[in-house]
Amino acid sequence: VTPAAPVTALLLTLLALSALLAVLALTIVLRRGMRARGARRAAARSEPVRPILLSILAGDEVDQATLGALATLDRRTWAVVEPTIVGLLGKVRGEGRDALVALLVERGVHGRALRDTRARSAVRRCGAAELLGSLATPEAVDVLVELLGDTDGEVRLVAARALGRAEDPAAAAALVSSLSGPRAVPHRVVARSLARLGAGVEPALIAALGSPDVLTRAVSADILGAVGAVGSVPVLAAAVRDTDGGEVRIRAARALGRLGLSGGAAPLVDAVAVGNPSALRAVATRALGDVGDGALVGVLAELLGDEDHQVAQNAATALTRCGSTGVLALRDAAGADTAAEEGEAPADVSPYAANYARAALAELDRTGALPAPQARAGEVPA
Amino acid sequence: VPTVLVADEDRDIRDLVAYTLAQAGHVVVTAESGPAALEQALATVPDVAVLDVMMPGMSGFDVCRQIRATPATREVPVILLTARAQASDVATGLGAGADDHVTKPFSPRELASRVATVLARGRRSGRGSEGGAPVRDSEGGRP
Repeated sequence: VTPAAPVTALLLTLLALSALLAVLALTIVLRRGMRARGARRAAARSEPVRPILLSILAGDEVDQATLGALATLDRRTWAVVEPTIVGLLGKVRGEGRDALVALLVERGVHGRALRDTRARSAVRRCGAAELLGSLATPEAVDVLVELLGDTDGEVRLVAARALGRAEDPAAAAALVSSLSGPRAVPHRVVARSLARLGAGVEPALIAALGSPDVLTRAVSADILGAVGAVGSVPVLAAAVRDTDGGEVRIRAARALGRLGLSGGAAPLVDAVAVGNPSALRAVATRALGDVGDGALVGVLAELLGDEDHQVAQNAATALTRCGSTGVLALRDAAGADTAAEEGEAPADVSPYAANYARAALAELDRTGALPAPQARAGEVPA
Repeated sequence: VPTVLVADEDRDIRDLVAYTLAQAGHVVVTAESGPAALEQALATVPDVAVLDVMMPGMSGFDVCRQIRATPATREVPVILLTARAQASDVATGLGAGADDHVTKPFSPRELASRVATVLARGRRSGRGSEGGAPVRDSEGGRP
């Protein structure tokens, strides 16, 4: 072996590696080029159909011949048009959307998706669930409800999300049931879907407030507030007072605040009482501000001096939402510590109350929502 | 002829809204990002702006605030087109100075009605420009 042999071997190896890299780079460039050409061809095929789709979606009167032409598009053109149509379905409502769903049914897309929900591959079942959620036909909703019990967790999750997009309140009970059991769906996904179904979910959620499962009751309370289910105030009030409720009580208090009805005030006032869990008291205090009734100012003003700082802080914020009497109470509290020092007010006033009141007033001032001080009844303006 | 600015990152939505409003007899200018929308708003001073909330570069909320902060466009009615349906999002939009909001998925016909309503309101209050503005398109063409 000559001394030059290792150098030659190294050079040959480097040469081979360079050649390999060059081939790889060329392959990548070629593939990208082919993909770009494919995209251009697909765009060229779909572009003439696009104005027709826009016209249908805009709700224009479309003659049967145009719809017939779409229904009989050749396979290759349909292959590039179909994803555009499916993509558009989730973005619009109205007659135009219904016309495109009818077109997809006629082209067999709906039937294929229904068949794919029974495919062995979980990926295909997920794809089918996604598509059925966009189509949102009554049959699609029934099949999606079945998929909530699928053996694969990902399929169950996609089905729950798709049911939200389908916006059919008939799916509410099934979605609520999917919150518990061995094949439960993540509660955030279920909650979001239930919220999308609107006020029609009220009966199912009110029924679910009687469930033995705590998570089911908690999510149901949350969504009743989110969808503005004003008929649920009595059951939410009962849930706030349910001393075995834990998290359910907190969610129900928040929901009563979201609903903002004066009928929800009494259970919230009960919930802020000392002795209740700290988190419940804090949420209920904030919810009293959401109700924003001037009659609650006395309760909230008292809570300004609460030993629980979160409750006191929330009371200050809540008072800013109770109109002029709330602001008046904050001004009184803000000046109470100085008045106490000067002997013009009781000495047992909480210094924290004044601080929280001043902070809330400053925040109102910063947002330009602080009204000018008004003379009280009986006072002579300066 | 009233000019409407339509700004949305999503080409499908942008084209659909532009098509619907053009059919309703409006001149439509489009933009696909927040900065482009603001540029178009300042250049054309539209009679109405329909803005998506989630746009690259600048959100619809920020574009709306800028429109309100600029003397030339201060009176331009703004409709937010948003997938965010929470009450807090609506409040943020109205706080930013928007006149109305439409939640996605939306009905193109309903959106056209809302545009007609804010235009009529603008005419009644003497706000908005008279007649059409010069038409420019950030993408170089109308759908």
